[in-house]
Amino acid sequence: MRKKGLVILLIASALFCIWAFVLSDRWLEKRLESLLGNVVGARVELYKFDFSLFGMRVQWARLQVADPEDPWRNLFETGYSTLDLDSAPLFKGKFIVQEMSLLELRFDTERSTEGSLPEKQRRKRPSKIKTFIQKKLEQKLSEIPLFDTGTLIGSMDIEKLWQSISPESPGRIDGLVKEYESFSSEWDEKLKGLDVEKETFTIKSELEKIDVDKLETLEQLKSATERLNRIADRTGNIGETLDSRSSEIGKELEELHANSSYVEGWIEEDLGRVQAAVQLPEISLKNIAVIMFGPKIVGRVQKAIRIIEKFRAITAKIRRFVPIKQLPPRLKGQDISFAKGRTLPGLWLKRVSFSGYTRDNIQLKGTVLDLSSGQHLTGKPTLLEVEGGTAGTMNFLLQGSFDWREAVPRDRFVLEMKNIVLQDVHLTDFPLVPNTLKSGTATLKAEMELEEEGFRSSILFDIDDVLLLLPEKEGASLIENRILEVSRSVASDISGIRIEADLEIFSDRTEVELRSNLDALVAAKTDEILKREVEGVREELERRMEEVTSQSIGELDRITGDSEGAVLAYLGELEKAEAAVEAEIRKKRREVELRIEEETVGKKKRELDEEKRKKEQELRQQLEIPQEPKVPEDLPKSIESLF
Amino acid sequence: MIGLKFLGKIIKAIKSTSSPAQIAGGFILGMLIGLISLKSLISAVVVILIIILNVNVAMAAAGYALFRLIAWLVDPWLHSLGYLILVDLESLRGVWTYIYTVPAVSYTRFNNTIVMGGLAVSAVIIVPLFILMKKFMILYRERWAEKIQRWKIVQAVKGTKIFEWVGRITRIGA
Repeated sequence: MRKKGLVILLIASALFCIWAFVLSDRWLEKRLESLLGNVVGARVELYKFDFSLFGMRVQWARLQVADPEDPWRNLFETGYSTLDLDSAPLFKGKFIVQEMSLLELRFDTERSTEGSLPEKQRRKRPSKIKTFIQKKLEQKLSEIPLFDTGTLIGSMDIEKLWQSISPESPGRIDGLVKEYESFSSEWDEKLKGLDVEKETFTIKSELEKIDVDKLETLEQLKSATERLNRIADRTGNIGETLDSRSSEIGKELEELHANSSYVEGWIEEDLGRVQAAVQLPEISLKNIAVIMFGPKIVGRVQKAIRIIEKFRAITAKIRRFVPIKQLPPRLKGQDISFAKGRTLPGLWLKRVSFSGYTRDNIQLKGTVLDLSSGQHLTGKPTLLEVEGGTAGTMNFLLQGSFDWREAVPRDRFVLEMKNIVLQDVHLTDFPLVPNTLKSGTATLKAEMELEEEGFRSSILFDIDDVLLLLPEKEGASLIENRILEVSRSVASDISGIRIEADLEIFSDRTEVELRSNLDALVAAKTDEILKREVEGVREELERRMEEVTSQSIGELDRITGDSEGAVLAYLGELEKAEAAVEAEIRKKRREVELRIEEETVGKKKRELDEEKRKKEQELRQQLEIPQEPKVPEDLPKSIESLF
Repeated sequence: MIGLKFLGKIIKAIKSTSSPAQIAGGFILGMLIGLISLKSLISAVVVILIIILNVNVAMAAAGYALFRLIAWLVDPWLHSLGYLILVDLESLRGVWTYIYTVPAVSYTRFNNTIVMGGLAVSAVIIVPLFILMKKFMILYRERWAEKIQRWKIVQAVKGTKIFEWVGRITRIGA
């Protein structure tokens, strides 16, 4: 046995005792600050810390916990607080707190010093669950098509629409007009090429030359007949040619008339294109809800997850009884846990009661039960209950359960808020809804559940007596005006807003479903305004269509009237001239025939009459019958004419 | 410098009036700390033993340095051995679970794979190493001490001020 060694040991023991009585406060304070600072991820400071070794009571005048996201602000700070420690576990380095009381708790306060931890103490990697959920949510939101304000105007641009329609009927009608013009000139050429006028004139002259009265002999008459026959043949040819041409022109006219009958169909076809081009843009209700409230919900969810993260950081992960073999750094090794009921966790706050105010001056009070760094050791989940309100206008209850006792950790939050008075609240950035809520009373019920890295949440947010701020300004463009119109219309019609959200984020699936009564209202208002706009645009396009087609139709009518009238009139004249010639021929022929008849049949008759008269006279003379009175010479002719 | 200092310590220890058993004792206690870890309560106990027991402190330091280096080299093997004992040997789990609940035992860090692996290796080699070390010291003093003292390097080390300084310190533990 070495005496010197014993002396050294005795000195060391004496030093420990001195430390325990004199310096333990400072040691414990530093230890707590360090422990909590590592958990929070930012500086934790205790003021006027006092540790009573005999009473096992810790107290401090002030505690401030910096916000790791903004080190110049505190997550919260407390006033005078006490906690009663269990003495025996403290010697094993375990802080087992029977009762902890935090007074004057205030959230989100300013700091006079920067509260970030030194670089090496900061958590290097971001939280896995937060990163996972955030990534999934952002991915889901990115899949939602952006609301394209262009849909409100894109389909309403009259010039663009007019260009896209490119009416075909004017061109087609113009083609018809040209066809008419072409036919018209063809008909002129055809008819003029016949020389009907000249020929009839020649025939007329020849007919005039045949003067029946001057024909004396039968031969002359017969010669005239032959000439008349020849003239008649020529006239017949003219008639046939005219008939043929008339028939051709008639067929061509029929064809043109048939083509003209298509004009109406062409115009209808163009109007059909107008109808098809001017359609209401499709506004998806589901998308509106997500676009309106998606980012806000995601923000709230992320905030809630940050709170859960803090609890999870304190409540250490359950250690599997059969741990997975790791590859630790050299000489570090891997700690294997052998948990049993008698083992205590490093930190166990059995009951924490607190009271204070939020930044918005909302009074809070609540309790946390069994907050520990090892639930598998305490066998109890961490329970949180906070309630509060402000002068009867708002009441809320937050209940949380953080259960890490089993292999699959389960955290659950239920938040209920009633009679939340809302004033000048920014509602959404969605342009079709007034973005500021002037006043309203809201009720919120939210449930949030985390299973390992999976996340499930349902949120119901009701706002009654809604008064939305109406945008007074005038839009600088057509689209802005239209958006403002929808926004005003929504604002004047809405009396309550109801938002429902269901989120499920697991490794194999992500569901984000958001519904709101605003969705249907916004869609209906947009639809109504756009429908009105669509009607106006349609009418304008139809007016333009009528304008361009009426010009062409007028031209078509003119050309059909003129060309057809002219050719038919000309054809009529020619036929008339030909008919007149034919009539003249017939007349002349009749005269000639009469003369021939006269010259042949009449002469024989006169001879027979003379012979009869002579025989009659001879008989009278023989029978001495007086002579009959003389019959006027023209009587026989008159009698003949009667027959 | 450090190498010379260390060598000086060893020479001083070997040359000292300490018995072979004291030298071997110091060496194996140093070995224990080297193989286990300084952060273990076992190491604290061993340090107290080094202080209280009349063992050679210089040899304890030498043993610690040597076996810390060996532990670093065979770390993966020690880790696997520790894991085998703590996890894979289910028959021992009850023992570990019980020990784990005993107050203050957690400070021994026996549930760490490297500590357990080192402890197991120490348990196996501690006695043979003590005997071997003791026999080695007897043989050394009988046969090789005179010759080694004449080595130039030994003469050179002995002539340095550091050697004198180390000598003063080691006298505390002599």
